[in-house]
Amino acid sequence: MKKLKLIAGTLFLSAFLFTACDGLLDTTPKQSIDATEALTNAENVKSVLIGAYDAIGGGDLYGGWFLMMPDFLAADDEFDFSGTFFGPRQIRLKEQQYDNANATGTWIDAYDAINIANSALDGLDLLEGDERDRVEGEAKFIRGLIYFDLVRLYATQYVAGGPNGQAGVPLVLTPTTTIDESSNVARSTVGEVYAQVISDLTDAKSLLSDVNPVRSYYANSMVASAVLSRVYLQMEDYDNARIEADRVIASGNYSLTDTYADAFNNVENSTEDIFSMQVSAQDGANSMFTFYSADSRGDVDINQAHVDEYEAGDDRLNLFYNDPSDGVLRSGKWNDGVNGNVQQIRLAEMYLTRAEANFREGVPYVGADPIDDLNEVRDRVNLPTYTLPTEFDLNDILLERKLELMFEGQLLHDIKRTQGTVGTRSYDDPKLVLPIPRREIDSNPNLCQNASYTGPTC
Amino acid sequence: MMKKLLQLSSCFMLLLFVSVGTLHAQTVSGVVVSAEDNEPLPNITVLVEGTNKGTATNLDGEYELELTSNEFQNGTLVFSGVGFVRQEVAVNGRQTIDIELATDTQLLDEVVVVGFGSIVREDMTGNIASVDSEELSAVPVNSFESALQGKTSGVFIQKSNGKLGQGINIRVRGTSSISASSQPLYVIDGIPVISESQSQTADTNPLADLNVDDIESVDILKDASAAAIYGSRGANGVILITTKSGKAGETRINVSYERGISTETNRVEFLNADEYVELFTEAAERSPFGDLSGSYLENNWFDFFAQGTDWQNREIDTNWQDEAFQDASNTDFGVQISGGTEKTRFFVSGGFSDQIGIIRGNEFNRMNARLNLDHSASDKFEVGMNLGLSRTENIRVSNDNAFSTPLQAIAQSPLSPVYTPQFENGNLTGFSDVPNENTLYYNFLRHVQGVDNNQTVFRNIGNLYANYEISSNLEFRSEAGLDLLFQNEDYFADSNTNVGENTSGYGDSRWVNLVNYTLNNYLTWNQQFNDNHQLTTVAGVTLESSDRYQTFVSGTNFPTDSFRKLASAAEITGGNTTETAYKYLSYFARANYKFSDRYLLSGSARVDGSSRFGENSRYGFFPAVSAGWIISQEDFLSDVEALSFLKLRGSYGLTGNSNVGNFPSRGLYGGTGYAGSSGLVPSQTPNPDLKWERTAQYNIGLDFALFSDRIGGEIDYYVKKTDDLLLNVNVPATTGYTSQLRNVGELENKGFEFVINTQNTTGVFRWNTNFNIAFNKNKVTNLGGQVIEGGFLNRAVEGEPIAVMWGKEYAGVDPDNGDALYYLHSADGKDYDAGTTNDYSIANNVVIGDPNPDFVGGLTNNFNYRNFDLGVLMQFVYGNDIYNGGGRYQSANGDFFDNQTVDQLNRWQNPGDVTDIPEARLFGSNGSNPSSRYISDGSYLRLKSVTLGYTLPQDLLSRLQLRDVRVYMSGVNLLTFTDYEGWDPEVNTDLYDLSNNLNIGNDFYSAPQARTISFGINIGF
Repeated sequence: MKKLKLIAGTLFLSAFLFTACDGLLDTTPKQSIDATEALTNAENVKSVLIGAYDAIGGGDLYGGWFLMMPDFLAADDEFDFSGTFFGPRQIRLKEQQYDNANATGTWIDAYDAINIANSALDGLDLLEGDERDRVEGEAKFIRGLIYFDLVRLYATQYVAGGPNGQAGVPLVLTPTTTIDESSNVARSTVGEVYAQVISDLTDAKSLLSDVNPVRSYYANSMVASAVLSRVYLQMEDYDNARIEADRVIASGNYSLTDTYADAFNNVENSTEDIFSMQVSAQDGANSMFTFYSADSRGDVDINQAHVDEYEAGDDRLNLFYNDPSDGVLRSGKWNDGVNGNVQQIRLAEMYLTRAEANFREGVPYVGADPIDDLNEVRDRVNLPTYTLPTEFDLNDILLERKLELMFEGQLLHDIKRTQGTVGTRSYDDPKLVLPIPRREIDSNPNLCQNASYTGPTC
Repeated sequence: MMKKLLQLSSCFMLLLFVSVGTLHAQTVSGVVVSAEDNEPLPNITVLVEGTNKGTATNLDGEYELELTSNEFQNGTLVFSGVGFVRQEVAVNGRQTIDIELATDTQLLDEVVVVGFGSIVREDMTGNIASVDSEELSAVPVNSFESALQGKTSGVFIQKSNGKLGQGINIRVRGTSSISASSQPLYVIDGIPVISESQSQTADTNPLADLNVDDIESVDILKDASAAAIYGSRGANGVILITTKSGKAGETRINVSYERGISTETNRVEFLNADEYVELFTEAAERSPFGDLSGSYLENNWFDFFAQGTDWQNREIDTNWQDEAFQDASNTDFGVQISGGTEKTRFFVSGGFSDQIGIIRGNEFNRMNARLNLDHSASDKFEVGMNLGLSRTENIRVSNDNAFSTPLQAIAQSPLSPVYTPQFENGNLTGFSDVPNENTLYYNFLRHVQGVDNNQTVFRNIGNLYANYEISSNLEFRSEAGLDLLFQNEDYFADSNTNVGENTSGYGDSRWVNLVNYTLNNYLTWNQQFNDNHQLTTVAGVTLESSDRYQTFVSGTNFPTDSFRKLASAAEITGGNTTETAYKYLSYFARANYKFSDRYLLSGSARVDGSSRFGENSRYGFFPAVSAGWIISQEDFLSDVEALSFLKLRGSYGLTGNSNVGNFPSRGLYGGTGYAGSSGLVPSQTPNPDLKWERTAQYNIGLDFALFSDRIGGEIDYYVKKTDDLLLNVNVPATTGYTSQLRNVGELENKGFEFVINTQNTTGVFRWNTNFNIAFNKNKVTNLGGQVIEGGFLNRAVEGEPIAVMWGKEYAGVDPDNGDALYYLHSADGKDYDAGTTNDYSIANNVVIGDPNPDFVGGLTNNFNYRNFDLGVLMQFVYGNDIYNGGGRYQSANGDFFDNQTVDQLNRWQNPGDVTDIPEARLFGSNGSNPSSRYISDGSYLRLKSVTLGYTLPQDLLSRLQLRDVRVYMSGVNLLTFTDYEGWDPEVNTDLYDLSNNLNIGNDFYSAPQARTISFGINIGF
C-alpha cells in the first residue's frame, strides 16, 4: 500500500514537472517590431521615409564618403592625404583594390538606403492624397540620388549619344523580403541606370511641392530639379541642365549668402543650401569634419599647387587656414563636426551650371546671360566681374566651378564629363572608377568587375 | 510562472507525508577512524551490502545501524567515503565493529560533478576534466580560468591581452561553430550563469567576479555523453563550478594574504633617436615622390617631433615603452570560515583583491563575500543556500585600436619629448607635467591624465535548494538560482583629451542590469537489484529566463574639467534604454546502469525549447549514449599485478548551440532618427526555419592505472561533427543586408587527448607529475560556397581550419632593386612555379596562416619534502600562427613616420643586398600591405607558475595555537620560450569581438601578459 502511495505521489509530481509550458517561451523584441507589423499603418510608412534620410546622411554616403571619394580620386597635386587610414590613402594614390574599405562601406550603405526607400514606396497604399505624393516623391528622390552617385562612381562615364551599354550598377527597385537566388541581381547598363535616375527624379519633381510642408530640409521639387540639372550636365544634355538649374534659380526660394564663408559650417540650412544633410549632437554624421578639420584628424593636406589656381584677392582663399599643430594648410569648409550640416547642393552650383550650359548651347539663353551668372559667383568672393563675354571662355567657367565647389565632391565628375585629366591619367583611366567590392563579387555570382580590379570581366 | 511554482510546492508538501517504515532487529555500532592518524572520520557512508540500508558516521566517527537478524548473521557492511579506500566487513554477529579506513590515493575514486548529480570517476563513461581547489589555488592569478591553463587536457584557454579583467577565450575540443559563440556554458552550483561580456568597449570577463578561493572544484564536461544533459547549450562543453561547503566539526578559520609585483613578460625593441634619424633620412631620400630628405623632412617632421629641442644632437631620445608600462603590484586578502553541526553546516568567506596593471592607467579590484549554508531539517529533508556577492571595479584603458591605448605610444617618434619641454634663452631647462600635445599621434598620457574609464560590476550569484528523500532510493531536489549582474560603465574625458577637446569634455554612463533565473526540479532514483545490477536515474525539468536591461546617457559641455558627472553636462547628446530577453524550457533524463561492477551503460536525453527560434523549430532533441567496460575487474586480468585499473569507454551523442542573438529568426524593423524626428528602418530579414546548430560527437577512451595506481592516465579520441551551422551568410549588399543567419554548412573537430599522472617517489620525498596534451584538428567541411570573413585576414574557407589567414604571400625582397615581392600563385591555390611579382595587386590570395594550435597541454611537477612543497607548471601551445595587424605600421621599412622595430635597420640598401626587409621608401608602401610578412609562429612553452611553500612544523604550530601555517613564494609567467616576434604569443587583440570565432590569432598593439612574483601566507586557526 505504502509503495502504491509512493508511486502515485511520484507520478503526480511528475505530471507537474513535465507539463508542457510552451507559453513560457514567448518573448518579444522590445526595441524592434516585427517586419509584418512595420508597414501596416501610415505613420510607420512615414517613419520609414525618415529612416531613409537618416541612412543617406551616414558617414559612408552624403555625410562624407560620397563626397570625399570622388574628390580624392580627382586629386593630383591639389592635396595629399597624410592620414593612416589605408582606404582613403589608397584612393588618393589611385592604388585602391577591390577590398577597399571605403568603396565597400559606401556600396553597402547605399543599397541599405535604397532598400529603405523601396520599403517606404512599398507602403504607399496606406497613404492618401498629398501625403502619398509627398512620401512617394521624397522616396524616389532619395533612390534616384543614390543611383546617380553609384553609377558615377562604380561605372564608367555616360557617353553622350552613345548606346551606354557598358555595365552600370545593379538596379533594385523593390524591398527585400526574402533572400534567395533572385537576390543575385546583375549590373544594369549605364544607360538603364541613368534612365531610372531620371525617371525617379522627374517623378519626385512633379510629385513634390516647391517647399516641403513637413520640414524645410526634406526634399522638395526644387531639390529634385537641382539634382536633375547635375544629371543632365553629366549626360552632356546641356539644354535640360540649364532648364532645371534655371527652374531652381527662378523659384526665388534661395539666395547666395553674403560671404563665401557663410555658406559653410551651418547648423541650419543657409539661404543658399538647396539640399543639405542635417547633423546635430544627437544624430547625423559629418565625416567631412573628421578628415578635413584640424580639430579632428586633419588628414587632407592642401598644397600650394591648389592655392596657386586662385586669382589674387579671391575671398575663397580666406577659408584656408594653417593647422595649429603642424602648420599644414587645411580647408575651412568642414569645421563644425558636432552640429555642422553637410551641404550637398548650393545655389552657386546652379548659377555655374546654368552659365556653362547656356555658354555651350548658346542663344537663346535660358534665364540669364552666362556673364551674369558668373558674376553672381565672382562678385560674392570679391573677384572683379566680367564686363565682356570675350573676357572668359569655357575653361574659365570650368575653373570657376572647380574652385567654387572644391572639396564638395564634384571635381571628379566634372573632369569625367569634360574629358579632362587627373595628373597624367586620362578621364577614362580605369583607376578613376571604384571597384565593385570584393564581398559583393564573392557573394553574388552574377556580378562582373570593373577594369583593373579582381573579378570576372564584364 | 507563479502558478507553476505553487503547483510544485503543493505537490512537494504532499510528498512530505509519504514515509517509509523500517523493521526492528539487531543493532551494530562502532567508530571509524583514519588509518593514517587515527582521527575519527565523519561522513563515512556505512551500507549493508546489496541493500540501500545505511547511515553515515557522525562528527566523532560513530555510527549505529539496525540490521535484520539475517543481515546480522550473514550480512556485510560497506564503509566508504570520499578520499578513502572502500572497505567491506562481514558482520558475523558482532555488535561492535570499529574500522580504520586507509586514505585513497587512487584518482579514479574521486567524485566528479556531472549535470544534475555526481558520479565516481571509476564509473564514468564520458570524458570530464576536473581540477580541485588545491590545484586552482596553486597559481596566483585573478581569474579561475587562468588557473586552469595547462591543467585540463583539451581545454584551450587564451587571454586576449595583458589588460586586467579582460576577455578570455576558452575552447573545449576546438571551435565547433562559425557564427555562434563557441564559449562553453558555465554552471555554478547547478545554475547556469552569465559569462558573456557586457562591456560596451572591448570584452571584459564576467567570471572575473568569482573568487578562486571559494571554488571547491571545476569539472569540465567535454564529450557528448557528459554534456548532452545540457542539450542545446552543451556543444561547446560545460564548465561546472562547485563552491565550497561547510563540514560538521570544529570551526575552521583560514586567513590568506598575498602580495606580488609584476612586469611585462617581454618588450620589443624599437629604434632609438640615432637609428630613427638614420632610417627615415634614407627612406625620405628614396621616396617614390622624389628626394624628400633635407628641408621637407627636417622642417616638417623632425623639427615638429623635436618641439624646439635639438634633434640634430639627439637631445631627446624617448623610449615610449618606458611610458606605456608601469611597475605593477597586487594585494590579495581572504578569510574563510567553515564548520557547523551535523544539522547545520556553513562556509563563510570574504576576499579583497587589488591589482595595478602593467599598462599605465589600468587597475582592477574586487571584493567578495560568500555564505554557503546547508541544513538538515530531518534525516530526509535538507535545505540550503549558496550566496556569493561581489563588487568588481575595473579602471580601464582604451581598446587596442585607439591612439589613446598605452601601447600605441610605441608608434611615436623617439625624437618627441613625452612632456612639454620648457626653454630658457633657447636652452632646454626641463619639462612641464603637461603631456606633449604635438606628437605624431595623440599622446596617450593626455588620456591617462584626463580620462576616467571605470567599469563597476555588482554581482550576486545565489541559489536555494531543497532536497527531499522520498524513500531510501528516491530523492526529489528543487533548485532555484538567481544571477544578478549590475554593471556601470562611467566614462569621462576632459577638455584636454582628444575625446573631449572640441566639446568641453565628454561623459557617458551606461548601466546594464541582467537578471537570470533558473528553476531546476528533478527526481533521482537509485536502485540496486540483487548484487549485480545498479541503476541510477535522474529526470526533471528546468526553466531558464534571462532579462537584460540597459540605459545609456552621454553629454558634453562641462563647466570645467573638475565637473566629471553628467549632471553638469550642458548638452545631453544621447540617451536610450533597451531591453531584451530569452528563455529556455527543458526536460531531461539520464540513466546510469552498472552490471557486475564492470559493465557500465548510460543514456541521457534532453528536450530543449528556446524563445530564440521560430515556431517551426522551437524544440530540439539531444540524446546521448555511452558504455564502459572495466576490464581490470575481469578474471582474466586479475593475475596481471602491474595493472590496477583498466577501463574502456565510448560515447556518442548530440549537443547543440544556440548562442546567437535573441530574435534571429524574425524579420525586424528597428528605430532610428533624423534631425530630431524618429524613423524606422528594416534591420533583419525573416528566417522562420532557423533552428539549433547540432554537434554529433563520438568519443572513445581508455582509463588505466598501473603499479598500484602509481601511474594513471586517460587516452581519448574524439570526432565532433557540427552541421546546420548557424551561419551569418554573406548576402549581396544590394538586398540592403550584408548577412543573414541561416543553417548552412558543416565543420568538424577531431582530436586526441592524453593525460598521465604519476607518483614518481613516495615517502618523505614525494614527487608527482601530471602531463596532459591534446591534439585537435579543425576543418570547415561545407559552407555552401560561402566565404565568411573576420579579424584582419581571417576566413572560414571550405577544406581549411576555421579562421585561416587569407591573403598575399610575401616572397621577400628583390636583391636587384629592393622591391618587396609577393608570390603570384594562381586563383586555384598555391603555385610557387608561377613566380613572384612586385605588384601587390596582382598576387593571388592564398591561405597564409592558421591560428589554430596543433596541440596544447601542460606539465605539472609537485615535490614535497618534509615541510617544503614545490610546484612547477609548464604550459605549451604549438603550431598556431599570429598575424600582427600593427606590423604594417611598426615594421614597414620607413613607410610612414611610426617608429620602427629594430629589425627594419636590416633593410635593402644596395643592389645585391640579400635581406627580408625591403628598401626604405617614405610613403612608398614598399611591402607594407597586409601579407604573410606580418605572420609569425605563435607556438610557445611557458613556465606558467612556480610555487615554493613551507609549512610550519606541527610542534611550533601547537605552541602558537594555530592549526596550519604555510608561507610561499610564487612566480607566474617567469619564462616564455617562443619565436613569436611581437610582445607575447598569448594574444588576441581586443580590437575585435571575442565572441566571433573568426577573430582569432590577431595582435594589434596588444599589451603582453604580466610576469608576477608574489609572496603569501596562509594561516589556519
